[in-house]
Amino acid sequence: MLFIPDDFELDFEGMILQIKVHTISNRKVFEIKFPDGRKNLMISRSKVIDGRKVWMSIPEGRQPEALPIGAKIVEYFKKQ
Amino acid sequence: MCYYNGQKVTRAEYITLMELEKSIKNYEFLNRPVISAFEYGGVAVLKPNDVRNNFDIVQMEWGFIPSYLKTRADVKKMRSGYKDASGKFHPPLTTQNAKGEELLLPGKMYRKAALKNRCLILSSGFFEWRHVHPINKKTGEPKKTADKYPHYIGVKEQPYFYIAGIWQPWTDQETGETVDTLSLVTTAANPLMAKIHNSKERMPDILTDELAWEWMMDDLTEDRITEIATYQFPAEQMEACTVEKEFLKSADPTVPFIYDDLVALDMPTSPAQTSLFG
Repeated sequence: MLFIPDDFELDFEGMILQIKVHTISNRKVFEIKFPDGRKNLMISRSKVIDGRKVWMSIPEGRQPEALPIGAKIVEYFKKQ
Repeated sequence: MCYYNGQKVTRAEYITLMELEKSIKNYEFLNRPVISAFEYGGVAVLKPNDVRNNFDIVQMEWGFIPSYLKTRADVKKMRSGYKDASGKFHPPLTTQNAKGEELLLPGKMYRKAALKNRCLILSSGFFEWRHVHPINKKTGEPKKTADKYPHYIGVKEQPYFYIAGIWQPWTDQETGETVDTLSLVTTAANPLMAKIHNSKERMPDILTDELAWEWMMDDLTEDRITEIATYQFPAEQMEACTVEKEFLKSADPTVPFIYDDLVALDMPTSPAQTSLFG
């Protein structure tokens, strides 16, 4: 496929999240679909001022969801 | 210094995040169940970057706008038809689709775009109507007016596939707004599509992954452009099913619907994915 790498699922706080990976403006963006009807969340890793990489919700405002789910995504890829 | 989500980021990173935000906002159109050509709306397109080693997913206006049109009012006239000063009616000119065989003909409005601005339309399925002329019980002859049965068509085991497209930026001379406008390339129908789209016997120029990349990224000769623009995706790799006549109003327009009075196609299996194209 040219466009979307394989989608994957994450077990997160008792829910199965469906994750789609997109490349938008040369950045990897993860789209998270929730089973509870919440609006899809888009997150991407961003470099902050002290050099750390931090998961960001895009647009702003859903950072409390972005951080733990982002950490779970990292964990998922480490296991691959 | 700038902040995003309460995190301190460099100005450059902030700009990147804002660009990403804008792209994602546009990106939400991917979740629309059906995009109809008659709406002249936005479609999801893969557009190569300037050096053609990567691409972006962007939204383009479906309906190529020739550069000689100056304003939105001119575009509306082209799309709807109009009467000129002498009262002569000029019929609508539709530019959503461009015939692959004719892209490069001298004088064609699509020629420059076919040479320089090739892209891919991202699709998960599309709809076409099969025309069936019912038999007049009194005369035994087929009636003049056909019954139309909508079909949903997709590519087996591919949630998304690529259709050749050509694009051109257009600037409204009144407002200065620039949009990328697009035409979907069509080719002669393969055996499956000839049965479904039996009124015109045409189909979208669906490409394999390899051809899609070549179409979008490579420098191609005119002969090769026409070869790819007229490629016929194999019928065996496609699937189709009938859907409700009112499918555009239904929550899931791709749900199969059986018509008792319609002879089934040879391959009546159901594509399972949501459609982008009508």
